Amino acid sequence: MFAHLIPAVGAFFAWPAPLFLVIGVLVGMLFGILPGLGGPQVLALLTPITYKMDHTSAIVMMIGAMSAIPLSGSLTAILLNLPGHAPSVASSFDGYPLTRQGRGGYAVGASAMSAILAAVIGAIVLTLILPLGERVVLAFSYPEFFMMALAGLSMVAVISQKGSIWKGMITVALGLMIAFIGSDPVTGTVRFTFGNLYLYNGIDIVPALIGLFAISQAIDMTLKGDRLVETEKIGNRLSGVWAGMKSVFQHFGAFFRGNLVGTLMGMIPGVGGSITTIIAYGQTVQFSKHPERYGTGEIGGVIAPEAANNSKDASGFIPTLLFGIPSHVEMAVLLGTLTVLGIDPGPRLVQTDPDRVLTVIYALVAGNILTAAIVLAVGGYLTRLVLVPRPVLGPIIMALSVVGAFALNGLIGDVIVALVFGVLGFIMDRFEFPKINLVIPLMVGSLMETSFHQTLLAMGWRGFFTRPISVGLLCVVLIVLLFSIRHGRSNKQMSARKVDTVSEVHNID
Amino acid sequence: MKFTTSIDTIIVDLTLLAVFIVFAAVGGTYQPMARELPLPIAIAGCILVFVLFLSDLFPRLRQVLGFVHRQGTGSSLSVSTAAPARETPGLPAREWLRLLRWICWLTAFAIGIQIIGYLAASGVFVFLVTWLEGRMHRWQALLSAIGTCAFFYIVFHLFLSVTFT
Repeated sequence: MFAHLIPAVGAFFAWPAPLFLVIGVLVGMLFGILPGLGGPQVLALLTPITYKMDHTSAIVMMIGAMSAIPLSGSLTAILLNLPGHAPSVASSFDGYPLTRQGRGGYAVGASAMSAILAAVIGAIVLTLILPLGERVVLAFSYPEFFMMALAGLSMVAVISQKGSIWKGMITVALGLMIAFIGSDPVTGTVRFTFGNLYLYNGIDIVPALIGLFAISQAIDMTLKGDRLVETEKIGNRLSGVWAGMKSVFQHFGAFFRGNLVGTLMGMIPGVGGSITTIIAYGQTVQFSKHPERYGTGEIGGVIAPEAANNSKDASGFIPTLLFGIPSHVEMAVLLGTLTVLGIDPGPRLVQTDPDRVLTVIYALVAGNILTAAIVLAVGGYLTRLVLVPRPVLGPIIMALSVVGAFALNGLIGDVIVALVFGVLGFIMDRFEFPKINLVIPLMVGSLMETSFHQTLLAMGWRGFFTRPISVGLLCVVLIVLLFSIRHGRSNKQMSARKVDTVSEVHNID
Repeated sequence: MKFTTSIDTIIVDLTLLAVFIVFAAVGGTYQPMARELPLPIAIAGCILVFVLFLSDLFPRLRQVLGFVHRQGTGSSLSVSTAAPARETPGLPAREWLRLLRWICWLTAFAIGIQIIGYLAASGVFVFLVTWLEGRMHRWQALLSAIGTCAFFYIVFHLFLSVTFT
């Protein structure tokens, strides 16, 4: 892959890819700034648009949009105390107090510099790890892939950011059952279609994702009504950004810790951005010489979560590209896009198509730099976007979702799938069933079943228990499940525990 | 703490239980290799949902079935559970009705796409929904409908050359 580092730059800058990078970043910023919308929504809505584009432009646009989300979400978190997307919450703990002190530009500058540095370091780590990871993955056979998928699913079920572990497991089971709809990959038996021809090839993942993330969110927005924010005192020019950018180097410890937390957590399926940024913030407070300053406008409290939020995206590509197991929701949608484009993520991708992998890495860095540049230049004015009324935005997103689902194959069946999953997503949100637990099984269900059958056919049941990597992964599954039994928090504990998490200290509700 | 469960939580549990029972019953009819994974997972799903249903239906069982409501490792850190543990509130009846109305709108939109084409259907949908549901001014609704149609025309027709069959 290293031999392709320079030639891939030429491919990355070949027209019209740079144009699509700009489009992706702008659209991503819009969705990042608007509260309630975020990475999964923008990626789900962009996916139908990419399927007729050339691969480089499509990938660049999607990654551009994805990389713009964290920083633009933090912009409103810092300036308005209104996080554009959930992981940006941690940035508001100290970012907003800084704004109230008249140092909003300083905080935004620090946030932008953290994003750029985290993206660059993340890209370097990714470039170094992928070829090494590829060698490891090439030692994998059917049982290891099955166990890998099982380990991913058990982590997703146990980590459950929303609701109980029990509901997390129910959702994983439901996701797997939906993934089994259609022809069995080995015997060809048609399952759970109830005679419907559309379902013979299974549920198409892209309309399902459009429904789960875009339509459900649009329904939620329209039910809530009114404006996204009722303040008119926004849209000022930022000052002090340069000093903020320099502050990252003066507080490099906070940046380093945030970056490390983001890189490590980003690789674990199901962890997601919210937990990552809050852990990064908590770690920074814990290691600080002046923890009492946090929450009152300490710049380290902006730098660490920003570093974590941006570095998790780079490391999230490791399981996604190597195993085809998405690490978080955005990666799941991105995986769906790659499937639409005919790109099959997996161990051989780095070997057979290094240019494509490098395009992803370059787009991640370029997207972050471009977003930071726009935020630093006109960030203050961009916050006016939150004044867009929900009753206008909701129907447009719904129309785009439905037409996007229809545009994929011109099938009304895709529209119905999107609508069904839209309602399902809305109900899941309201009844605290985690959506990520439905998406990841949908993605890995086929891989899991195929590798399960191939193991049985080639090696029998012994195949799972006689190979060292497979046994190691099985141990991971057991440890994760045992850990969940021991450490899951009961309702009693949850209600009785004292105010001890960072989020409670800052009165988030 | 006194536990109460809303009726819609029970309905959601029952619906999920019915879905898993159907999956299990239908899955059992396939040849052994085709049901090797789906059947055990469907049965496991039935058991998981049934236990959840019992614990929601009989709040007194909460002491015995405490494991059902253990929060995920992530939720102890995430914002959503920052508040003390409580019951899933479910949806008020008015919100269920509004959801139903939205399902009707979206179904009508899907039918509209089939009958009058995606461009006209999108315009009509955005106009009517923004005007009637969003209670925006008619001119604002019209403007957003025209904008949406123009955007769709440029993206799907001129740029992507999508042919909707």
